[in-house]
Amino acid sequence: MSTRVSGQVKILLLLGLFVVYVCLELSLNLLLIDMYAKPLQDVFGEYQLTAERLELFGRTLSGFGLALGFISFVPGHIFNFLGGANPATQTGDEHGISKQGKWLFRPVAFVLLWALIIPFLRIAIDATVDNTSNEKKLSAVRAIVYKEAYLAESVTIEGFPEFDEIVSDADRKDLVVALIPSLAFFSGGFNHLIESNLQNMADVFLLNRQEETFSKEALPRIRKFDGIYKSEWGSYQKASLEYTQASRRENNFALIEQERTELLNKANERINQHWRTFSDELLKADDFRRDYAENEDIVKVYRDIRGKYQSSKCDRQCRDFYKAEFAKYLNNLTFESGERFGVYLTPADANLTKLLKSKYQLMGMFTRGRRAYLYQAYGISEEMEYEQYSQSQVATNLAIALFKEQDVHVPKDWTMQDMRALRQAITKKYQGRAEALWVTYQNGSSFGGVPEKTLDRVDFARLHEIKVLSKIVLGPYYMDDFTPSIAESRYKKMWLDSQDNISFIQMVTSTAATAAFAPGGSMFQLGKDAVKLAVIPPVSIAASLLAILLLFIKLGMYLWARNKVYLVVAMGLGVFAFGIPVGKSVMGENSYHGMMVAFAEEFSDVDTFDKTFTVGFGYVLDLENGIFKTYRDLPVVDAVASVVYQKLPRDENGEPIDLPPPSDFSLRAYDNFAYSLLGFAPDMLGMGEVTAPFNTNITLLKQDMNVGAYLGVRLEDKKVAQVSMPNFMQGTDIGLIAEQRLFYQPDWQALALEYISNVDDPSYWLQLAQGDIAKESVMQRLERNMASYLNDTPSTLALLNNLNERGQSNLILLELEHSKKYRCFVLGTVTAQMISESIESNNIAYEELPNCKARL
Amino acid sequence: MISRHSPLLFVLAVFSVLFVSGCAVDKRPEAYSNAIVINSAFPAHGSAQAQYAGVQTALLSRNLLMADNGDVLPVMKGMCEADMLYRVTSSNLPPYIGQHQDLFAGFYLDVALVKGSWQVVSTDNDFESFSSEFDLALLASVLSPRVMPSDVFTIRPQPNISAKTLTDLMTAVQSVLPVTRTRFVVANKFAKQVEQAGYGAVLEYAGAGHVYLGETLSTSAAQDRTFFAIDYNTNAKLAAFAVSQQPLMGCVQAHNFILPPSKVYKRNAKKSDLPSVVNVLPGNADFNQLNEQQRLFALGQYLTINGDVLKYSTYQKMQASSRCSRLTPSDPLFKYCEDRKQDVSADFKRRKATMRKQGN
Repeated sequence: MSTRVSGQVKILLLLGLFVVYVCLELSLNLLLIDMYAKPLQDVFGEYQLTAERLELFGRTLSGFGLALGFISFVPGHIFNFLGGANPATQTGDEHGISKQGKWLFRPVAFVLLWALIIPFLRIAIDATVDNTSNEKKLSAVRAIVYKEAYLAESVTIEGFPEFDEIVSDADRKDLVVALIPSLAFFSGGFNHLIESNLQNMADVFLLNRQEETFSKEALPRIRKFDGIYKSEWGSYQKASLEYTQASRRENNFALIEQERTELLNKANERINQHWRTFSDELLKADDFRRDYAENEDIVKVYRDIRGKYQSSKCDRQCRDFYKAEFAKYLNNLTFESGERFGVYLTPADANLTKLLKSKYQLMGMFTRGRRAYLYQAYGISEEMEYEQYSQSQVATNLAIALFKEQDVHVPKDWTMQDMRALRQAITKKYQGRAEALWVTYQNGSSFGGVPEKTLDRVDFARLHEIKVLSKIVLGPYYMDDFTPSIAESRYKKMWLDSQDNISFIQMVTSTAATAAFAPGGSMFQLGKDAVKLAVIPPVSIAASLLAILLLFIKLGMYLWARNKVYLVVAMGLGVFAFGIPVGKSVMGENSYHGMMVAFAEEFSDVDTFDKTFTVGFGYVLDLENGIFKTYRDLPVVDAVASVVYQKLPRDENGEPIDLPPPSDFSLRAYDNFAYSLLGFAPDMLGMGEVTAPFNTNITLLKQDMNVGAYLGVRLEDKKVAQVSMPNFMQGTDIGLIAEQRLFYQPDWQALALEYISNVDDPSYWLQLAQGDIAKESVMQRLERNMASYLNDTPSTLALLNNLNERGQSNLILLELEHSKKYRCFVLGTVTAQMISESIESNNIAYEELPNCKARL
Repeated sequence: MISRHSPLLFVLAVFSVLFVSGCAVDKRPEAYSNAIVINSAFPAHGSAQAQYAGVQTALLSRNLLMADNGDVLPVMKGMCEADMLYRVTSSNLPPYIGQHQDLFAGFYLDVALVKGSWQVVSTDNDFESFSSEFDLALLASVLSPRVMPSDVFTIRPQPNISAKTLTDLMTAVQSVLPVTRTRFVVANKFAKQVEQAGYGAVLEYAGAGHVYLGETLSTSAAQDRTFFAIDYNTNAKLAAFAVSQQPLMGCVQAHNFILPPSKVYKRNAKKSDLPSVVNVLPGNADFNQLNEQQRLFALGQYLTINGDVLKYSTYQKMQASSRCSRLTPSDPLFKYCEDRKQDVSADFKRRKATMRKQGN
């Protein structure tokens, strides 16, 4: 009974463990899809640490499964030998394993094996990657390019819209994106399709990038310029019109004459009016202020002063004083309103006698004082008559003053006959008004305006100032063909034509690039990345699926022998958990296998394997799709994801910082340690080939942006010690290299002679194609010559040394119009990330070297 | 009381009032007249001859004036926006010299030392070769009766003269012309010497602070000599120019002052008298050949200042329309008449690359 119960417990425990394992595998599977459905930029950027941890998790889990599987297939009695136990002690055990063997040695062996498998998987992967041929690496790069382009929805396959539909469907996208590189890599037909379209893809991507730049950078500038130009032209037109009008006013004899006549009429009027008021007032002087002759205040003052005047003590001097005193009083008399009394009495005219009544005396003084006052106030002498007055300086001055009021300034000595001076003064009044208007326009102009005043629209558009303005506003987007009227589309086309940006995609996928994947080549790292990315994720995903399947079988076998009920339950659950979703997916309307059959028909017609693989891929997609759709939101998956996820450490500016070294007791530390310890294994097996990177990798781009050649350069003591041309004959032709004029060297003749003497020998071409000749003689010669040639070209040598010191390992030389001169670009280490960047965000960090002196 | 002792007392009273105040003063004139005589007298160089009366009025409305000899001249000094000098090349002067106070700012003379005596010469702007006209000493008799009080004299001796020769010249001029109103065109290094002698200095080559003689390129058939001054913006501005044969042309070249026609030319115009012609002549017409203009008027044509015969209709078309409306789309300049087509979309749409199966 107890054995039955312990058996039940054991089975339940096993089932529990099984469920945990399946859950973990499932999580790994789904997280892998999640991870590799992201752009490479993210995989290598934000999720770099997470990706590494996921990979380690995957290896750990697979290691567990592998170790378990391996151990369970090892017959039990073997562990007895290890333990040295007596095989006979536990005869009841059907496997013949001793207790010690079962509970100590077998678990220890299991753990050891597990621990060994974890790093060994990594080594195996690296070795596989290292041993992938350059052509295969190039295929992998193509696969990655396709995946990234597909993910970015930048590529479509003609006659196959199903792919486009998938990628624009968020639910279905991830799975296909994560797995498509493997199809692109493994299917020769698909890979060929990508290869034959890469040129076009690169062109479109580049064009997209340029068009985007134009739309986002150049177009706003053009429209800004248009705004400025429009307002400038408007203000110019206005200023021009106003200037013309003002200028005509300035220099218009008729108007000058008109104004002169007006001024003179006014002057005459004023002169006469002056006399008129004067003579009228003079006439009225007799009765002037008559009423005030009886004014108490005045009479009182008068009597008072007269009293003093009449005093017997007052002598002549005293009398004069009182006369003056009374004259002063009367002259300064002012009303409360401020109005003057209006007389000017001289002391001599002051009448302080008692001859008549004071009333009459005062009246007499008012009259005389008034007359004197008027003569003085009107500036007219007593003797002057109208006829004299009208020709006098008084009249002239009145005219001058009137002119002045009208802003016409004639000299002080102006005479009534001097019409020239008057005309000039009128001219002067208007002179400069037009110019002042123009200065106002110029001050208001954003570029200081122009001196020309009568430009029409055509001339204005062609002004040098406008050209300068457009240069400033358009900045780097200015071209000489730019005019204020050129259509945007036309300018855009011209601008696009003028662009000669390097296409990264074209550069890394050129067939001539194969050579650069060789160890030490500029794309060595890229090749490795690409293979890993194309092969590892799908293999891992498939492996984890397989592991789940195998475990089911294993569990089924186990339960078959022990308990049929549990078997039925477990299998039922299995079918329920996996069978139904998968079945639904396969039968579903959007099943992938159907689509892939069609795809295979169209594109995978290279061989049967290709076709089978493609169709198989469809089924795998269906399978995964069923699982992925059902379980992607499972809490367990999220839990594992949160454990695996680790943020990329960043500094306060958001810039990524160096990864901290793993702690000494972490799984990562163990993995790294074991990896380095076991690193000898591939060497022993002859798989590893370690080549130190070159100091500088030179990529020669022809004018059409195709790769001309790759050169690896090693420097020693600031001299070129070695030049390596990774088997460049592959996929390219010798004429191309000759065209680069690299080899005008003494030994060239020998090479040329050899070439010429063999040119009609098919076997020479065969050898050349196989690289035999090149390897044996031509290649070596070329490399040697290249080294001495570079050493003899001081400017290029200096550039190489300079780059080396700055730690930039990639020099890209772009040939300028059939000259021996090149534009130089430098680029950091080429990685797979750049593929994603060049498609998605379009900013590969090419740095153009100004004043580059490279000459080859 | 007064009434009782009348009339004696009354007379006395009145008399006493008159005694203290004096008689009433009435300065009212019988009639008022204009103190300043207003007449439409035009500037001095204009002809008052009756035969020109009609055309004179028409010309005046265009800022022009006819002299006694029939020459059409700018109406006033200010029109050219630069001083106009009369270049004396011979002792034979046009009749309006002497009545030029509203036209010329003064005289310009080239002088050279010929056989020990200073001669007024006829030469080009570069002073390369010259022919002597008359002795400088005779200048007084040639010009004196016709000189205006405001006239300024600009004298240019032949280039590369020595300081001593220049002193000689200045001494010679002293007796003929008023020192303060005389300027010498000299090499920049002599400017001080000239100024110390009381004369004004004009530089041979561009320099700040002085008026300087313009290069030959800046002269024209009408503007024999040009003088520039550097303004506050360091722009060279035409300050003066010398003319001899074509004052009107010289002035127009300095500043286009001729007013647009006051009347529009009509093909079926019945009047073809000179004033009517002057009223319709375009601004670029040659006003010095009015008789020819009158002849062409009948043909619907006019003579431009450049000597071309144009149709009035062409001129009217030019006036009524802009260049852009006249250009044909095939003209290379036509594009400048168009507004920019905003035919590039601001929101960029990425295009997909299409992969095609290549033929096997």
